[in-house]
Amino acid sequence: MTDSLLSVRNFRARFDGETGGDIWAVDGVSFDVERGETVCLVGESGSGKTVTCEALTRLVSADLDGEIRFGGRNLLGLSEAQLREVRGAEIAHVFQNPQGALDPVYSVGEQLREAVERNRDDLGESGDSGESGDSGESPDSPREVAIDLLDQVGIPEAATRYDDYPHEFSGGQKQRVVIALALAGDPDLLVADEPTTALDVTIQAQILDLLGELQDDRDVGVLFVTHDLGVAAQVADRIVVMYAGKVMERGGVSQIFDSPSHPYTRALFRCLPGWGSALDPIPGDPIDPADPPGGCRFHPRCSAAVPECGEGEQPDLYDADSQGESDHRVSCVFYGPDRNPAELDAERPTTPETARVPKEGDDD
Amino acid sequence: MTDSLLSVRDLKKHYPITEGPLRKEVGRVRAVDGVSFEVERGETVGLVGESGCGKSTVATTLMGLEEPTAGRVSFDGVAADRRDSVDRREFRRRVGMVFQDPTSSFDPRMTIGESVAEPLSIHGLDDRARRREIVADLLERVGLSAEDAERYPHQFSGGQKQRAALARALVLNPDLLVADEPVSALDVSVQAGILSLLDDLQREFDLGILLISHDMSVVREICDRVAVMYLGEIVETGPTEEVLADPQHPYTRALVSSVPAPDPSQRASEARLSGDVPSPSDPPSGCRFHTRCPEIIQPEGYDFDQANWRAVMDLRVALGDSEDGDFEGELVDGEVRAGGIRDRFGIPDELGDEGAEAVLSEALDSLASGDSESARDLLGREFETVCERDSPELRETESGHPAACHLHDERAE
Repeated sequence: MTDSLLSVRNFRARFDGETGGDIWAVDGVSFDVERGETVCLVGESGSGKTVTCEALTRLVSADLDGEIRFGGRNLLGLSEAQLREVRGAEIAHVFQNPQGALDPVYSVGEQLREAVERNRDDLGESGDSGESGDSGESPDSPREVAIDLLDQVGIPEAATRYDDYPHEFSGGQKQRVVIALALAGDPDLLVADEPTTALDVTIQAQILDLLGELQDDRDVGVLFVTHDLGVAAQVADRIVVMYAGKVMERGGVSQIFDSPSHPYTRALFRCLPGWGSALDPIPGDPIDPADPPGGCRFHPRCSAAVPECGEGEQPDLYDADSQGESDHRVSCVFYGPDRNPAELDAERPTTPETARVPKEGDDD
Repeated sequence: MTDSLLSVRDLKKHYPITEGPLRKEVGRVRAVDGVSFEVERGETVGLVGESGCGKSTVATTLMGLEEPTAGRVSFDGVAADRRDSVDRREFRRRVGMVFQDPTSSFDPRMTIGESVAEPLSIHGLDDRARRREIVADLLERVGLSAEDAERYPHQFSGGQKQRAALARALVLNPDLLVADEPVSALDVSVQAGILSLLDDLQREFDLGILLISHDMSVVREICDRVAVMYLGEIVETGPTEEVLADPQHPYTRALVSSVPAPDPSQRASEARLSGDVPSPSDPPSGCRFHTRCPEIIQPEGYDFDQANWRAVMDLRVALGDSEDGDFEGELVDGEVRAGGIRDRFGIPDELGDEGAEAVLSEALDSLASGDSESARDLLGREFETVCERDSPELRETESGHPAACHLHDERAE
């Protein structure tokens, strides 16, 4: 069996809470990303999807635990200096807000050229140190490479725009520049954290197309974070649904969309606006990360919850397809050995007693 | 006939671009350029468009937060003349507003209760106990609890703050609510809660709502009617169901098809809208959408494949945009030949129409020799389209609702 490009196993991230307690923002998450594949992490704010992404190259200061296998090694075991070589050259990030990802006082071209040069230095140190004699293929100048990158991400008149500053670009163009920056190191894995959330729908469509084309051209793996199931449907090969630091469900994109299995996934679908069915918001508030409920993290808001949902740990990732082994997995007791998923489909009261969660700030 | 709750007629808001110590006006940003619409009691109207189309300026201008350049806003049949402070106060009592970012719309040093009650004291309700009572009641109606009045904004989540913002907008019992992107800063699951709350509140208070959004799915969810804006103008308007099911303007079609469908079997394949919204300081001639329109009308006497025609227009737009020297400098750089230009704009090596091909070849030759001006003039003369020449009027279409597009001209004539 060949190794996955990225393999995350039982990954956890701990922050110090305001009042001294521990906050496990990510609490035992496992998934893989293959070359040429797009995996979407889907969930609400606070589900831990961004922390998961940023922890890959340790962009967050949290205590990390578990295993992140990439390129034959555990990234969690690398030193800061070693990680610096991973960032950009092997794993590159595209963030939500392109404004914040570009330095306003340098021209776009300079920023790109810097990224290209930096990557060259890294190669120089680790790679061809021997005198290989024939320097016949003189490398393009960093400036040319930078212009070529701008051209690849669809900036018109790239050579003319090279000297422009970020504020002279529109939001969609800025995000294109950020993508060019991410590509400068020719990474194997692109981590895109809500890359289109700050953009208009028309521009979002353009950027999603661009990411798809670049992925085809370069055969990179993409880890894509979004809270929008519509976007996930457009880009994902596989989907991981997260809630409160745990994986609720994961599977191929058609498995998730044709037969969403976890009550949380189903609830997410019911609150998508504009697709015909009446809006049905998820009752209750998101959990307090400093004091997560026992059992399934979603059970206090779940309309199907039964008493055993609140017991023990988050349920195992059971097979969603009772017929046999599939990679469509659901962390819900109804898919476990003692229950039948058909019970989930039965009508249940929509406002469960359990939906009332104590609010933060309530003392009693 | 009874008057509309809100009636906006030919509203314009231009921002002058000034230069030099005398602040001489050298140009104008036409953020809103002649917009008319109505909102009736108990009705939700959506104003939808991309960033920069002027939809938020419509909101701030009609609220009197900015002085309109021209046009007339009347509320309940009375011109909302905001120079008179008594009228202004009355207008503000009857129109509530909710903004996109609930965090920056609350004073962090005031409790939520104080913030929600503030309009009451401004409008002369001095009875403290009564204020408290009203606030407690409203907080519960928007899905918070009466005790939440004692808490500070930072203790609330984004969705809860937006609920509190709604309570504040409704505290004076207004007739109209102007909501500028009220859910776009929120998670989908939280959006659903706010949208259904808006729906409930509307029924309860018989509110008129003007909802400003860039998101067609939000509009589809709660709006009765929709007006689609592009570069300061309304290009199509009508009942939401009708407009979304049978859009008459190519821009509306593009907006509708850009919303990602939550269905992996429907991955978008339609032609994308190219480029960004042009600058409102120098809007394109004729139909403002012609620089991006996938369905732009072909010049008379030629027969293009539509995609090729769009590509040729893209070249023309780029030629028109480029300041002298810019464009040709890049094109002539290195080994760029006519073929290189075709590649860049996705124009095939040979256009199907011989006459068109001859014109294009000639223009490309002048371009390659550095004479972009004659290339621009030649293409402009030969390939002129009605879309760049005449500005289309908003008029009835076969579908029963109006749109401003020359594609409907023939049918009208």
